[in-house]
Amino acid sequence: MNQQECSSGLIKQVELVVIGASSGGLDVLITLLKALPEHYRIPTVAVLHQRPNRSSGVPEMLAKYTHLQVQEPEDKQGIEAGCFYVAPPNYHLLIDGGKVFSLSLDAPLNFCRPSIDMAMESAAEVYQEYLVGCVLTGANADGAEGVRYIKEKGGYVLVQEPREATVDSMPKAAIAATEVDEILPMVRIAERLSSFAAGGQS
Amino acid sequence: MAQDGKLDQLSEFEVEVECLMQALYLRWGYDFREYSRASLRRRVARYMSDNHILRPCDLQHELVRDKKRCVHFVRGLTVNVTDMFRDPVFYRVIREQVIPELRSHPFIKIWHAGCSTGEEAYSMSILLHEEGLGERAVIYATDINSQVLDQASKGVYHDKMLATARENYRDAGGKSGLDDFISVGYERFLIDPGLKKNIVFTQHDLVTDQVFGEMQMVICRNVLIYFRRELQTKVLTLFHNSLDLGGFLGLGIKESLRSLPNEFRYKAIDESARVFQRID
Repeated sequence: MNQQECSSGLIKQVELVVIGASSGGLDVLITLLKALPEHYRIPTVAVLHQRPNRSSGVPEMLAKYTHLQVQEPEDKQGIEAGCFYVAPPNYHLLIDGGKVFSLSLDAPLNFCRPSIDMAMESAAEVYQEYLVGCVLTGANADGAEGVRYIKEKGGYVLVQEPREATVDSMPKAAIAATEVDEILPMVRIAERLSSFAAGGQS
Repeated sequence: MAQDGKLDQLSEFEVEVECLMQALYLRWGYDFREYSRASLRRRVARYMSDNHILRPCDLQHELVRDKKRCVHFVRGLTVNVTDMFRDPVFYRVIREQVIPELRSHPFIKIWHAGCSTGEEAYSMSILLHEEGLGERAVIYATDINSQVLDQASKGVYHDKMLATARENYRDAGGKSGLDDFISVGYERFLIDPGLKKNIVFTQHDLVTDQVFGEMQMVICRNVLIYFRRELQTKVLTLFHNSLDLGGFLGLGIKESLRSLPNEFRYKAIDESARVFQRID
């Protein structure tokens, strides 16, 4: 198993990555996907704030830039390696025990549905320290509570370098909320993610 | 992964929520044991913070002793929100592909399970009236939550919902204008009483209650997402046994029959709109 030292000094095995992005998010997700190497197989969830359209077209757009299988998860779908999941617009995307997605139509949290905080918190409950949370560009504070909780559960947190972000409020809020592990430009985030060993599937 | 079993260990909070659910079932018969945990825990946590309760075990202590509080808690736990003609594509498919088949029936019975505050039941009623089937159709609109049913039977909604309602109605293929079916005023809009005549609002718990017989259509949208797989299967069997052969099943846009035992007893009328027909 290809394990790497992390900045925290721990050997890091990762079972799931949850990424939160808002304004300017689509472009950085494309940058990320382009930079992820072929061997990257860790299941990854992107919670992107979108207009509550009936069909977003985002998965189709992202699929052009990656070897990973891009999909909008359905309710109770199992989480699998080699997949890049995009939260469906206008639903909250939660992670449930047994490593399945669970959707919810509960009220927007801090005006957001999907809420990055809700996705990250529910993922941290299930994946504990085997989770990586990642907050990218965005014009609000969604994700800050989420990464704080991920840290509480022993997970790892990466934040996009605010100076590089299209809108810096979301990365800044995440950095203010907790001791994040690393603050990196997008390309380095891709490098860091691909350096993690995929836990349980070596 | 996790040779030490760490990933399977529940936190204190999670364990206490499990105990709470068991207690509510044993004490009052409310059965949330097979509800999807991620959203259930959030709803419990929100109730606790709204009511200044620190731990689920404290909440349990109160709820097993006080039926009235428990009813209040259960109401908070089971409120779902919806819109008129939510997911217009769903109603468009009903109009274009289901209605022509329903026309051959002398009498049409529809079960709308988990109707919440009633917007979608009225939407269906509007559609049926526009298609000239209003007089021979009845909609049994049910929910576990008696409070939302009271609201549903009033048919009064806040007018901040109106813009979405009008837009959805148009996108759903509405034949005239939504305003032909509602009256607007005092920051509210009111559903035309004529649309209520063929709707029966009644309380029903999908987990503990029985089938509704011989329906031509069962609609249950965005309710199954709150259930675990096993309970989804059980409820879909309940729907199956309530449906006539050749009857229609309508689910939420992100809900599916995939890898559930009933999958092959239905054919998709429209896969993306989640409209299915019972063929077995």
